[in-house]
Amino acid sequence: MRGLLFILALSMVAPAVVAEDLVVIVNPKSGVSQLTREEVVDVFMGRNRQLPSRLTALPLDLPSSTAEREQFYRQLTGRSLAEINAYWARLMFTGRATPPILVSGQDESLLMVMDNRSAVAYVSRSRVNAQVKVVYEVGGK
Amino acid sequence: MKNKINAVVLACSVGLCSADVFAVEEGGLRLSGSGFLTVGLGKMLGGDRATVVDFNCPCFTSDYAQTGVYDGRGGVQWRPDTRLGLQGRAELADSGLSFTAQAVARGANGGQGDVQWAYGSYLLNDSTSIQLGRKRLPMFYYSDTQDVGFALPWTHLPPQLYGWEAVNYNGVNLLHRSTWGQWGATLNVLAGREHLRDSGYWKIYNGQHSRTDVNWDNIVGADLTLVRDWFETRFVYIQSNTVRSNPTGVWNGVTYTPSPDPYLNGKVTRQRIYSAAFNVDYADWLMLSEFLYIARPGAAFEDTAQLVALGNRIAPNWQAMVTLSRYQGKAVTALGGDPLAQEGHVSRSLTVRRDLSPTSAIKVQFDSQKDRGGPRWIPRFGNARLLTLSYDRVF
Repeated sequence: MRGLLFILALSMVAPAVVAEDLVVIVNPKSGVSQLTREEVVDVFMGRNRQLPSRLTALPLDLPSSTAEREQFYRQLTGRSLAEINAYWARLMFTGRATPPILVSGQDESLLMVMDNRSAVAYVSRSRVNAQVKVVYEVGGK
Repeated sequence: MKNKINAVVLACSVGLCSADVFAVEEGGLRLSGSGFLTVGLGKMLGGDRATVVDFNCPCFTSDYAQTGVYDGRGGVQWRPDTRLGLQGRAELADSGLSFTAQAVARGANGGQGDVQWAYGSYLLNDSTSIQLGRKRLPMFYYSDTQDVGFALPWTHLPPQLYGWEAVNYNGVNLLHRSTWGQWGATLNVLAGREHLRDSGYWKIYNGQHSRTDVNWDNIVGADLTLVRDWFETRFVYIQSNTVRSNPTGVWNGVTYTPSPDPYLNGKVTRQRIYSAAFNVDYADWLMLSEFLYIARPGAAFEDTAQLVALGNRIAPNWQAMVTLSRYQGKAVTALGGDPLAQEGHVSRSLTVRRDLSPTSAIKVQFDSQKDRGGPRWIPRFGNARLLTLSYDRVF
């Protein structure tokens, strides 16, 4: 009985769906071997799009309806999607910065990264294949 | 199909990826549109009762540039902070050329719309663009987005700092982004002019039926933003030749005969605007600070204003912030300025924000404003306490 209560209690605090680890990927020909958290923030928040290899990054965003997008910004910046949108509302209209390009999903992210040396995307770790390079583990130490 | 994908991509790039954003692409020309809405409601809770100029006080000015004033007529007031903005962008694919415009209708102006932004932009390279047209004067940290309530942590900007006679200009600016060591840097250099008929700002001081025309010529300035992880700082310098006039006549059905301004009216003066912001966004804590100094060589007073705010993300999608802002005019006694006749006020506010969705939020704010004007300062608006509620949305 105690065991059953423990499992019941655990099920109440555990998330219904366990979020999968996200990683940031680039094209193997980008010349980038790894990125720091600060560099990933700079690329996706439009602060500095120049990669260590001097290429200008082309960051890709998943649709706002996806759990991965919320998870990515929450883990990367500690901010909610509403806060991220408020941030862009302040910058983009004046032309001071442009937000990442929206793709339809992780499949398109992978295709664009495989096809474009400048593309930078976040995907679930299980989606990674040999034609892309992992340069940052989101939420990692 | 390709056009459909491009439309969605473009929609995201200009409009926060909401489903309502309009975007089409045809023949290499991309057209897109988005907008923002703030419904602001406010009620004066108390303060000094008096008729000041032609306002029935207690009074709280939430938007100096648009004569957005809550007054003591009682009941819930919606005009000062309510606005609807529509923005559109046309972009010639792969050319680096784009045109952007924004029109805003405000409750403070009886719902009338006006064009706040209309500028063309050409991308010189990946990090530099030149822009020409009508833009916001980048005097303050939130100048660019002062109408977009969703982007602000308050129901209205702290009026002690965010208030001056002109907020836009026509001209040219060069925008350059780069890195300085570990810092992301954005440098913006601008030049232009602004000829403003019937300034909303001066109606607060001269009466709602007054008319003041303001000319800022030879505007030259720059702003520099440096950001590194959780810290951001911004420095601004803008100068202009400034002249204002109060034409006698019948404005809004009332005959207006101005009393002459002994210091500035009809005289060309040079103003030099300095401002700096230092902001921290660390873990769940926010700290905003901003400082303004306006010097006018040849005039008898200067402006100083500051704000400091401390906020905390108290729970997912909830944020609380306390703000202290202060304005104080400084007499230049060598030029005849009277130290006892300077405007001054401070405001303390508490704001709670709740994000309803990735594109909408509600905020509640309590402001307490104290008059710190000198004993000979006129017009004395006095103390005021205001409660405001806003619903903000971008689409």
